[in-house]
Amino acid sequence: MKRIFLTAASLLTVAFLAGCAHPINMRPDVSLIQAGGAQKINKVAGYHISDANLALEVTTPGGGGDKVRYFPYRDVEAGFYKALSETFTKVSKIANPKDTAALNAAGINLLITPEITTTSYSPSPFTWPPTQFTVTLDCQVVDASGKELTRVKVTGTGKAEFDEFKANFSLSAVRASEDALKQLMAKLRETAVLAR
Amino acid sequence: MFMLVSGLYRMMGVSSVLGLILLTGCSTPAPNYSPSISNVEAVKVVAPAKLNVGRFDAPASMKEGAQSISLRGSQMISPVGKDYGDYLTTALRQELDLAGVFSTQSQIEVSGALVVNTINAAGISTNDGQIEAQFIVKRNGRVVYDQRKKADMKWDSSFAGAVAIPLAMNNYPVLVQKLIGQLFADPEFVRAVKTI
Repeated sequence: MKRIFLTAASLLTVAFLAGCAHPINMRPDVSLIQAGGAQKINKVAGYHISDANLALEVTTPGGGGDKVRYFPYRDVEAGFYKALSETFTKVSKIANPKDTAALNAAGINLLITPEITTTSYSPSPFTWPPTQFTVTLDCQVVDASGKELTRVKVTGTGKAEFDEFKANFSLSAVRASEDALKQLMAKLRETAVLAR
Repeated sequence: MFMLVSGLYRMMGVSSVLGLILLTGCSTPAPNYSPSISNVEAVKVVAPAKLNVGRFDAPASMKEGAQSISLRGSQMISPVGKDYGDYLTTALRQELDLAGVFSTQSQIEVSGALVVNTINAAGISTNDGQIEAQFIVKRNGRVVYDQRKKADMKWDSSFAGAVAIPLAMNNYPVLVQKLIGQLFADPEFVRAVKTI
């Protein structure tokens, strides 16, 4: 009887502890998002992230059968703004991409709408923080008339081992965001149609 | 089958318990500050003059929150500088920098001191945080603005420390964003920093 009780209590405790998704964040250090003084594209860039996306929380795998949860758009937005600011001469956040009067009033030449997808993984059976993380930024770029000019897609990766992430459980996610944003700056510059 | 399920539960349990151990009884840095784009867009409009950021003190007279914030026995420390005064200094600098209105050469300097800096992570269903700071604007060394601003927020939490502690940590930068938002929204601050 005692054994059955102990087993049941252990299973309940484990189920309680293991059933949760651990909150992490993927906020980059914006001071690291720098183009190194490269000449900016002389365009006014607007970007749009919907309120629904800013409030979107996603859940992906961690280690040991646990999961992690985070807000991709909310966490990446400041780094995204910095990446665009390092690439174009002026950047504005656009609340309504269909409001052409507001776009014209702000002098927007390019409107960028990012789609963010992520993956996470840890081979560890004993610790939940992800050791590997990817962030994909798939950006649709349209001109002031709404005509699609191009799509720019980059995937950043971040890795963190136990010795590093024991002081920061979000480390692989933060590194993946920073990597993706640095790649985005480079790829936007390489995209000739954006400079025309 | 029972053995397999039992083994899986054991593994998940070890992972979660290790996570709890990782989270409690040690010092963990707060997440990187990430500027609020609402704040950045707001200050771009209200502060056409460049601003410098001086030091924000975190006086020892504060009951808590100067050097560290206690989250269920885990100590959250500032990831920058020596205390949370440095965290606020860095946060304000990042907001102004991203808005393009930060300059170390400016004769208009914002400085001040933390007054309150607490997070209650002990609740089993909700938790909350409060922050208050004194903001001083000096123009050529003369004080032109001296006011306290405060912000608070509440969030859904969990009984499990492995969820409640990271949630509290992830909400700290958002609390600081709200505090800075209060400053930028103050018409007297706007008047104090506007170009004459």
